[in-house]
Amino acid sequence: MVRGSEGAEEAGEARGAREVREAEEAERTEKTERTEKAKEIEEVKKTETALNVDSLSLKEPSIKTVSFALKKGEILGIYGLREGRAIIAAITGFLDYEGNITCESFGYLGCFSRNISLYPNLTVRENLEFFASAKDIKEADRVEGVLGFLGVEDYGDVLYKDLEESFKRRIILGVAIVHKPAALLVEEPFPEFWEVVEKLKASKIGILIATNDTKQLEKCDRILAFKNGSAFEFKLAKMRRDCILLKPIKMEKAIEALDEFGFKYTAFETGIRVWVDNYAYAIPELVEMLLRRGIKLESLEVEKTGIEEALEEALEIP
Amino acid sequence: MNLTKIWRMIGKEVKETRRSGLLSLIILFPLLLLLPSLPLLSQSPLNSHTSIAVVANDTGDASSYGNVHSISKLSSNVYFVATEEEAFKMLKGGKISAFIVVGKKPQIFAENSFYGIKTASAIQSVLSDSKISYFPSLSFLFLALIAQASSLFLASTTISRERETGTLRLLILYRFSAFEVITGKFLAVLLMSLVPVFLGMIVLSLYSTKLILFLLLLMAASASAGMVFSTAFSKENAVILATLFLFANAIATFYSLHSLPERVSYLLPLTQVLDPSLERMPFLILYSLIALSLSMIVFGIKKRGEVL
Repeated sequence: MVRGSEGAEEAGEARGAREVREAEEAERTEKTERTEKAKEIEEVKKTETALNVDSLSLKEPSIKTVSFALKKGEILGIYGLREGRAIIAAITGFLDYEGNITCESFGYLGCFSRNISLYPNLTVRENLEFFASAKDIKEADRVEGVLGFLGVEDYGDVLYKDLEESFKRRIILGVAIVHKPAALLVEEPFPEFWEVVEKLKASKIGILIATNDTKQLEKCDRILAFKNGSAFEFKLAKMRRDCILLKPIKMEKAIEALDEFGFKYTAFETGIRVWVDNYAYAIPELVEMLLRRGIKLESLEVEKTGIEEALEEALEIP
Repeated sequence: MNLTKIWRMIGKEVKETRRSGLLSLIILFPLLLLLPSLPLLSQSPLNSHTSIAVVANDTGDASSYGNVHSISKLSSNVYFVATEEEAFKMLKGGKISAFIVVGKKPQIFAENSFYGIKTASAIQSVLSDSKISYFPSLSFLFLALIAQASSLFLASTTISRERETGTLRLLILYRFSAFEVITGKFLAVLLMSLVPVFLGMIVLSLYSTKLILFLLLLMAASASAGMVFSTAFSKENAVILATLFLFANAIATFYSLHSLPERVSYLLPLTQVLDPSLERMPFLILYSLIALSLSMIVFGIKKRGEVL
């Protein structure tokens, strides 16, 4: 019995030890799983970002610090051509900077600038082939694919110097994307660029735009603007609001109704300014709601605030 | 370093130069230079106007003087000189196209040119047991000038042209290294300037592997000098500098045949032509290596000044 009990104890100990071991193993596997998951997430993040700029600072024009990550298939606009040009020059290595700029592969950046020109005495196809081979692109139909992408298949054998300006810009864009870059840096986008921008986004290229033209910024997903050298970022969807100017006969009742339905508004002596995302959807809703409550309107005006006003408003914030 | 990049650069450079019309201009240049000598090709090499010299030193025996008599029938312009050196001077100055040292075994010295070869063979038909030796002549100097001019001018516009059109930015953007750009362009220039040189060789009938090797090294030295100009200066200034450089070379070489201080020849590669021996070849190689590395350094410095 004694022996038996000892044996049972031993067996129990052994079982306990095994349990502990099993638990440890389970923990270990969990840990490894967790770390693997974290790694996967990091990798996904890495592969999603085409270009990462971390605390970049420049002397001329003075930029204190700017950090942003350009995702694949996203358009990031920089408001301010001077700053934008400087940032593009820093990324491409034409300007000295402090900070970290990381890219998937540094050679794989496409760049469009007004100062860039191609070889005038080579044909369009030869120009594209030369720069494709510079990055070891060995696909035979890559150049043809780019020509088709830009819609200039018929101009492959024309000398670059004989092309019209708009076609020249297209070919420069072609050279910028022929080596399959992760990010495309565009200075002052031109109309031909916007024609193919959706296709570029679909092919998962991160696009950085530097411009002073606020109309072009409207097409960007995010905007980066500068004030006294420091950068601030904002999403266009938040900034872009339409404004409806109401002049009700009875102000107090109208304000009560607007409060009840959760509209954002600013009231002043002669009327109420209601902020909505899109006036086309908001007006029928608003008018119906007010009429049901028996509130009559003297007048209703739509004030469309463009991105320009939004930017100015944002830049005025101290 | 990427060999395919260099190879692509050579191909691109040749295509561009051909289409820009610069190559045809460079090919036209030797033809213009050789235009005065073209009538010589049509006429018979040995006529009454052919000048030859006879070196009559004391070692000659009586039988050889009988030969001199038959030589003097070949041409009306026969100079009799005392020493070989004097005859060499006349030959290098272009006064005569061949001279004979009479003796037991008569020796014929002739220019390594169409004219010289024909004269020498005509003399040999008279003097049966004679030996001919050739050496570089005025026509070889002309060929060397063509070689230098074509490689110098082609090289002096390569990089400065790219800087002017704005394609240099793109080369930097696509991470072409200084070595790839300079080497690719240098090899392309050598390849292209071979065309006028071969053309000149055919016209002047100069054939010798040693001379071709020497010309190739001279072209390399001139092209690398042109590369330094084109990396350091704008297109116009580089071309002006190349012209001045060519004039300095030509004047030093043609004006002071053999009376040049040696230090001058360290800067002017064409002067090496005066003595195209194998000993001068390492100097030309060293010259081109120094100039090429200098242009690579200048390219690296100027790259920083480039704005996007």
